[in-house]
Amino acid sequence: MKNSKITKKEIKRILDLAKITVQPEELTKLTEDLGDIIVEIDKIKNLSEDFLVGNVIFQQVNNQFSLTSKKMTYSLERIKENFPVTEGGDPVIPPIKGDK
Amino acid sequence: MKKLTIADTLNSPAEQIKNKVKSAINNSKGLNIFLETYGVKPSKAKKGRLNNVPFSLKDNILLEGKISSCGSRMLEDFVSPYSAFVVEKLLAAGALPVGRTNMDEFAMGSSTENSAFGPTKNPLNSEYVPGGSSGGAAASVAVGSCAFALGSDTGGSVRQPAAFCGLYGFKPTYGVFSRRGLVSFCSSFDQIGVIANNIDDIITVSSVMNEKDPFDLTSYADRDLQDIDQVNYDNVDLRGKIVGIMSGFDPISVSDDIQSRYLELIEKMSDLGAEMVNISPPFLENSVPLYQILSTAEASSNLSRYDGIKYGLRKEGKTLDSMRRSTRSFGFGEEVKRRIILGTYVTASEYSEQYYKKALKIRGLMRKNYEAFFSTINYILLPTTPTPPFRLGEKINDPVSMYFSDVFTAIANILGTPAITMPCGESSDGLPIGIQLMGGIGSDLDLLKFAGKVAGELK
Repeated sequence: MKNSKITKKEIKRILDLAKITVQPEELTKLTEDLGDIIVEIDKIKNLSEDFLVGNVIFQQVNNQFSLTSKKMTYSLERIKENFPVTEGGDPVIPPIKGDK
Repeated sequence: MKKLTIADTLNSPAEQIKNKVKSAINNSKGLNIFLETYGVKPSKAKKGRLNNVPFSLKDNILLEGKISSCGSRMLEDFVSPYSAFVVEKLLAAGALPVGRTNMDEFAMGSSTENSAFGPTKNPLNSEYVPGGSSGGAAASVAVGSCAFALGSDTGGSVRQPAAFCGLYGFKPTYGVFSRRGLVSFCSSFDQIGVIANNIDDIITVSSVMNEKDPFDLTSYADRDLQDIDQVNYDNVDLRGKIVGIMSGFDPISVSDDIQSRYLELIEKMSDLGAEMVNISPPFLENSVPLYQILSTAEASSNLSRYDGIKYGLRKEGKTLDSMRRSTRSFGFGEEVKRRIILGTYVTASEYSEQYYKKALKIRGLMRKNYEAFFSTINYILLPTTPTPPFRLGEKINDPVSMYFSDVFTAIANILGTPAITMPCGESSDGLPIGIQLMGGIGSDLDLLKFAGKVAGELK
């Protein structure tokens, strides 16, 4: 087996967490495949933190759907139209079908 | 293959449509498009805007009383207890479900080869894949068995198969279509999408399906979309619109055929008056690894519910733990296991900081960057896929190469933005090529109108 970024032992441990068991030949293939995939996802791991901090202070990033976002596609009034029934400003979820 | 459109259907006698659908389904049986057909029963009473219009459902979208297996042995016998919200809307408008279509298991794949029920073949050339994971959905429209198909798009699973089958495929802004009744894969990316033969049909179907669903708080009503009846493209002007384009794709490998069609389209759009500006979409080359981290993390959590207790398959075991292990080991296919393991790995306590949490940070940063982008440009033009359709079996043993099929599509899911693929000529081998337009959050109708205008000018 070629040099992998992950060992069979580690894969076995993850499989145990995921409640899955595999045959020995399947384990070999999984280890190889996951090794190749981890090489790719390491690009994210290796992105410089400076680069992240330099571009934006993460804490200030608002969810785009958040009502407090400064740049909204829709007006607050229009978004509120989606919540016709409210209780103290919070949307009221109707009961699930069949529930009494 | 005679394709069906909504206009054809509405203007034809119900019996004629029924026969067309039946014959298209029968003639395409060898392609393994449908996992089950329902039989078309046209209604004599006029119900709504989609009266007797046939449509197909991807096998992960619920229709009450019918099986939804998600292309998996795990849910092979699972009968839906209710219909998806969007399906309820379509049925109320008079549309007719013709059957459930094959898909990659739990929507994990780009070729529809990962289905537990065998691969679907591309109707345009049966030696090639139809794309995935909504490959059956795209193929069902391509063979003329329905006017439109519902698929799901988590990283490109509507747009990529639509491109591979020479069709239009639309993924709306996250929240435009309720996800209630769509089986979860990656909840923060999943969106139901529409595949059809033209953009007018996509607009009509989107207009019918959009509504705030009180059971899906991420859904919202888009009044522009709801109110639209018919688009007059004479009123849509390409002039004054700013479209971001890529002058080169390095380090992403893109086939010569795709690059040629892309450049031709840029020239045509420029001739029509659109302002084509050169951009470098931030993080595009990192979108696939980012997508893999976030989507598998959510998938490993979402799929933990398949434990032999609450849903679907149960294999016997001496203890609760062994029952759960044997159920999951037998019920899930190879690709699903691979993604569950990756998702478990990136969220494990010792790795989550460097993979999952970092990916979340980058997603936040990307959204901020693209928000700024879309405040200065209207749309981004990208290839839909880096290559034309590939051969059956060509990438099945190379997951990394398969994952890179999503390199131009996953970005819209990461950002939650709308995107549509349009057919744009053929490769030198005669295979279809798709080009994609992406807009900002909430620009769905504008994007569709713009794409419709471009498509009309290309004819």
